[in-house]
Amino acid sequence: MMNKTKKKNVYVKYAVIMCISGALGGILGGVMEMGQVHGVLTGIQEGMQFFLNSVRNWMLPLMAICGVIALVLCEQYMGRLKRAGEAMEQAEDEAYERLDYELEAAGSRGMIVSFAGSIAMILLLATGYSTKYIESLNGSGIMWFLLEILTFIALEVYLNVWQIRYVRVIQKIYPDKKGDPTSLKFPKQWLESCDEAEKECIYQASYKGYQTVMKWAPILTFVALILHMFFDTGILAIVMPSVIWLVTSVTYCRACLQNKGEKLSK
Amino acid sequence: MPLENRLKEHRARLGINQADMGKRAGVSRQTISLIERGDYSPSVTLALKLAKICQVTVEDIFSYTEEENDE
Repeated sequence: MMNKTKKKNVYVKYAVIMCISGALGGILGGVMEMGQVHGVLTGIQEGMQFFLNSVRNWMLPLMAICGVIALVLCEQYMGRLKRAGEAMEQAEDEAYERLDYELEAAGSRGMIVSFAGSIAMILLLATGYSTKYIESLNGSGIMWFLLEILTFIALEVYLNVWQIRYVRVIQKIYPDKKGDPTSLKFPKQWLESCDEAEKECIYQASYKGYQTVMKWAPILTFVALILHMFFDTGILAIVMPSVIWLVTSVTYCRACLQNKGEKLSK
Repeated sequence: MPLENRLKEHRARLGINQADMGKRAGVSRQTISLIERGDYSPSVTLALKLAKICQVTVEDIFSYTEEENDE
């Protein structure tokens, strides 16, 4: 009886959420339509174009600033990693636990900075990365663009090498950890060398990552859909998050099925 | 915490550190540390391994206490 009421409540809650979403969508559509009529959308479009053009014009200094920040932070975290690793060799139990946390914190923050830096570089380059733009450049403009490309490559290489160095430092501290960080099989090799507690930590973190993608991929898909309707942003902006959404959900279901199938066939 | 353990006491009795205990059990020093702090409940296999290393039964190391609000 209780279960039936609970199930009913879930459907009612779902219907209410759908109605609210529909109403919000309607209001947003109306606002956008009003904006189109009064030329506000054109203003926003022009503003965005101005912003992108400004970023494109300042691409090299912006890349340099992002690169220097990423480099300083990454090297700082690398230093902390090495110091914590050296101290751990002689540490007693309680000090070891604190150092282990420091090691994890420095490593995770360094990885976040290296990924954020790498993505920032890609986004900056994307503002001028089109044949239409390159063809519009004159002699010195092309030289500047080549310089921007070289800066981009140099920083991407540095950030990737930092990640390899990070893995090597961890492998030096924990010799049991295996895997070649330059190999495509690295995640599998690394996981195989982890014990049960470390695997549990990886699985929990992976599930959190899965949940984040499953929350944001639909939101981004619908945002891209709405933006395409009013700003003609292109179909690719809708395809990308929806493919990520599909691939993530299919991979998850396939892995669950595979796991159960393997157990059944034993 | 429903699962309590006396791994630290048994390890001290053997006179070995966390790293040695980890080596004997085939896990990392961090895992031994997590178990001793009660932050990780080991698998049955690992619990049996640890009991064997300490030459006691699993119940001598690990004890399960039912929480009051457990149904």
